[in-house]
Amino acid sequence: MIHFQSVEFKYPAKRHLFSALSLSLKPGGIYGLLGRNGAGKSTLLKLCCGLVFPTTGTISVLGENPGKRSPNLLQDIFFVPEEIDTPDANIINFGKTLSIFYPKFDLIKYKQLLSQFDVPNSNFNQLSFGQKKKTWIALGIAANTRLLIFDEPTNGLDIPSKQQFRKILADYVDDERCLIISTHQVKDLENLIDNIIILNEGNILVNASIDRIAEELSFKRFNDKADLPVHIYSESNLFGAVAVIKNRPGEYNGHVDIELFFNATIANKLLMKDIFNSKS
Amino acid sequence: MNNAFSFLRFWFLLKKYLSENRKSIGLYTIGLFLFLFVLFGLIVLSSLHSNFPADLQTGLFAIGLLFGGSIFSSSFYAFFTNKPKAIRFINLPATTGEKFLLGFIITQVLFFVVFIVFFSTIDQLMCGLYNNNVAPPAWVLPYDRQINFHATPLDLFGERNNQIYIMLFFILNAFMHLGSLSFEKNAFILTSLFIILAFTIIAFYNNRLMIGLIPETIVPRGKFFNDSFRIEDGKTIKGVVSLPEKWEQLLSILIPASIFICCWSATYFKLKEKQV
Repeated sequence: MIHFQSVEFKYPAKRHLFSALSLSLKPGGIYGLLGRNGAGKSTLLKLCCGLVFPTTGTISVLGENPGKRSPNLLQDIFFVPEEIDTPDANIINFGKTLSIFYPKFDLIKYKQLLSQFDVPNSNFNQLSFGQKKKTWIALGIAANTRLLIFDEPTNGLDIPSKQQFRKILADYVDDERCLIISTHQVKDLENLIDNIIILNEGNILVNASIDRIAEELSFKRFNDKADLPVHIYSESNLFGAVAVIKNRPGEYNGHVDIELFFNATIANKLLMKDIFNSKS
Repeated sequence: MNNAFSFLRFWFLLKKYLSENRKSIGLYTIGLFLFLFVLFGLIVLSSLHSNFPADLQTGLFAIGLLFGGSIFSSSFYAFFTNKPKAIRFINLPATTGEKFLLGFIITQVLFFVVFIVFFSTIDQLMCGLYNNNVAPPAWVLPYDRQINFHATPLDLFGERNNQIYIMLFFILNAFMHLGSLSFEKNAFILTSLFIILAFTIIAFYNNRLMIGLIPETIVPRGKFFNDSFRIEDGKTIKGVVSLPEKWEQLLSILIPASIFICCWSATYFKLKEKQV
């Protein structure tokens, strides 16, 4: 669905953000894009949408070059950025207008989603930030595009809305679609994302499915730090410690603590790269 | 076919733009109307005991059209400073041609039509107001009264000077539109400075080039381009070289048309390659 081949990118008067970046994303999954501030997450998403162009290398999204911005491709991509737009329009009328440009837009679904999210039918300007965000999420889902991209979607959402968001997204993905969520709020997306991409200083450290991560690693809690076995990474907490441990062959522990995995990856870049890139 | 230019999709895009920007467009329209109405009204009221100020009438037309149009045009792409709006504009499934035409229609056609309608209406109104209320001094002869104390609405498309102002409006607007896409902040000021600088440099080097080509002392002459030059030898005029009449006519169309087409072509490609 998305292929990056030796992509280089730099903003004017800045150092290279990406050098020889290669990446493949398949349909039928929810990808969690993680990385520190400035790692290049938003730029990667913009490259997928054709909002910025690579310096060298090729990008293919749904078989097309996103830089050409052809209506055919744009009709199948919906990007909800971190900072959202507030058009001077009633939200239902705005949905109706957008439905002209997105042929698969489902207006009934849009209204249902707004109702599920408890967003009142009014002008964008009269909504709170969280309500605006939920409206854009609803627009993105109702657009029924094959590629849906969210940048920090849960920022500004209240706790019930985050739960509702997870539920709605779980129903959204099918074999034809791909969803990319870039976030720092990994706890909000636990049990939802099924692939993790970790970006660091313009490099992909890990691009692996949750199953693959669970095959390779275990995330365990220990009451006493002294009980810690040989591990890749550990963190102390109020209850003792949590650790990331390399599995023995055949060992499988279904649970993946995404936050811990992210911290472990950032702390052990080469090792993690070696584990997940050696036999993918 | 979906990727080809579609007039239907352009129509929806225009409707969407007008609906989402109705407040700012409405405010601008009211502002323009009030500006013309109040200024023209003041001019007429202050002239009720004197000749009709035909020069100010033309001046108001020229300033309103050129200045108002430039400000409007240079703010068209101001939304690119707002990243979410810019992302939505670029990611909207429509061709670059449709998005480009939107800017062209709004800034070149819509503004021009609205301005002409406003100015013509106010002009008619103010000329009527002057003609009905003018009170010339008693010593003015009846003949003079009919000639100099009578207001006539401007012939906007028939008079040569007005035709030049209209042509300048289209060229200046094309520049300002391109400037609006090139400079995200302070587009009006930066584009104006750029135009002044560019034309000063062109005028200077054009003169230098002619002096370089012709060994005698020359004095070029022309309104918008050199249409003739005088050859001098100290204090003696040796002769005047003029462009053939057809050339002059051709250049007066070719130069503005070339600038206009260049500006709009550059706008199209800049929009196509705009990154957010």
